[in-house]
Amino acid sequence: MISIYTNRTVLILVTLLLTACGADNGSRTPGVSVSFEAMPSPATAAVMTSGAKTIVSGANTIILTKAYVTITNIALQTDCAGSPIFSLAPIIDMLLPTAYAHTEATPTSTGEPFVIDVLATDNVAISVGQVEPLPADYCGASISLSAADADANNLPIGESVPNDMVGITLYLEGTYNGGNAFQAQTGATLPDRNMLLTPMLSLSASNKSPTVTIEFNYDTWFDGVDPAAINNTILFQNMLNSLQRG
Amino acid sequence: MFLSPVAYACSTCMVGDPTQTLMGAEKPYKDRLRFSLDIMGRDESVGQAGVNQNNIDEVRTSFNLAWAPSQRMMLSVGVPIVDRQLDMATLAQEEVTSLGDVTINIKTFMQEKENFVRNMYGLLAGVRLPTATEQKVNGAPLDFDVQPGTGATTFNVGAWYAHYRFPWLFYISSAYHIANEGDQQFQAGDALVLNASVQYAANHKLSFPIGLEARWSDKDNFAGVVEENSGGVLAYIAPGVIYTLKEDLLINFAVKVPVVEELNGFHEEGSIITFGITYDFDLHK
Repeated sequence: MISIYTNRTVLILVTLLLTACGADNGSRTPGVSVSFEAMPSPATAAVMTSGAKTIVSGANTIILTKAYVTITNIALQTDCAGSPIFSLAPIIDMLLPTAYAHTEATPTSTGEPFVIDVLATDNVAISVGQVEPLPADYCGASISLSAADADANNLPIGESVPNDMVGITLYLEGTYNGGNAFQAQTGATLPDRNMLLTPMLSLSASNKSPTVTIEFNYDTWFDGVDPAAINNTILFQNMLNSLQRG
Repeated sequence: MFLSPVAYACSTCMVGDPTQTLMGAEKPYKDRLRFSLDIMGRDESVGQAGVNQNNIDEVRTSFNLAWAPSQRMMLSVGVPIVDRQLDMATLAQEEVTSLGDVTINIKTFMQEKENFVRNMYGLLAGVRLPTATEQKVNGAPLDFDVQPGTGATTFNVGAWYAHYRFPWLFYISSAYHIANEGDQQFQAGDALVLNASVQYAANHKLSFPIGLEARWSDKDNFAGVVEENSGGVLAYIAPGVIYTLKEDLLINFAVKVPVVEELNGFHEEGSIITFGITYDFDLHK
């Protein structure tokens, strides 16, 4: 025969159990992440709003009416000592053929192509990817520029750009010195721009989600370039040189 | 020695053996009903330090009820509440407090005699049901390592043997575990578990068990991809103490220290601390 005492004990236990079963929750606190942003930002010229942008380069006045660059990957680096070209733009001596590479995302690399409209409003950054690396000190970032694929973000669809930038790394269109039209484009893979991060990007519990901003100093692109006979090597070299940490 | 009516109703009196037994090691009598509340704390790390290591801390509170429909069988059910915290290499942190997977076990007693026996043995069988809810945040499941259950149904079968010779108790059991596919396409590897313990009673209120708890398991896999940091051999030595607070109410404490850790890949398990109370309901006054 079950006693009253036993009944009460069972009741208390069942109540305890049901109360405990009601506790059902999960939570997540994000870990380390680095956001990458990019923006057009003139090195010396006045800041402009979106639309055609005027560049004065030596005796030439260039009006850019279309300007797109494809970033296919940004990778954080922990070892910069062995690379003499870190912080300097690489010297272009060979352009690799078009590669529609959708590189693989890793904890330290975005792996996601993104087309930058350089004629957007200056100094307004847009997100071009995020990585979730381990806490560590990162001395540099390697920026890969190559042809966009059909899955690239921010393709300029409907902007009258050849093939909507698919298969294109850099596309420029505009006029120089009072209405002379010019166009420049490549689908080649450019050498990586290895950018030194100074001060070093130290990721830790006290610095869990910093942002790295990449500036395109587009007003330097035509330095030493004759718009009447554009030398792609110099133009592309200038473009790589113009990528700076914001 | 004269036994009062109340004393005669005590659980050890009912089985004619003063050995203090925790849940699972008891002698049955018809309608024996026991409850235990066990709290277990453990930690574990999976993955390579500085690369992809996940550290898991768990506190598991289990409500267990065991009932003997006859002197030949004990049925038990365990309901765990799981609190898990996962610290990832990226400093991300996930935490879950939830109902875990409920277990139902049956234990048979196959020795020839029913009363006043010293040697007992039988078969074990059980099932762990996928009662834990897969935990999500904003619709995305949390990491599998922090989930309160596997989402799989796990079966086990085995055998046991016990020798009761007060103040000594020797107990050994072994069971083979096999599971179907669970959440996140997880497939646990088969496992063979061995428990052996020796217990010495200093008096009728205080006992000192020491156990060996060992487990061999095959590697797990996710969607057919083998998880290299899983499976292997793990053995704990587990000294403890059992004290009778009052009639039919035991309190116990044990520390389980890993002595063999031949686990595959990057996988370490820490010590386990357990604390519990066991109570025999008095149904026979």
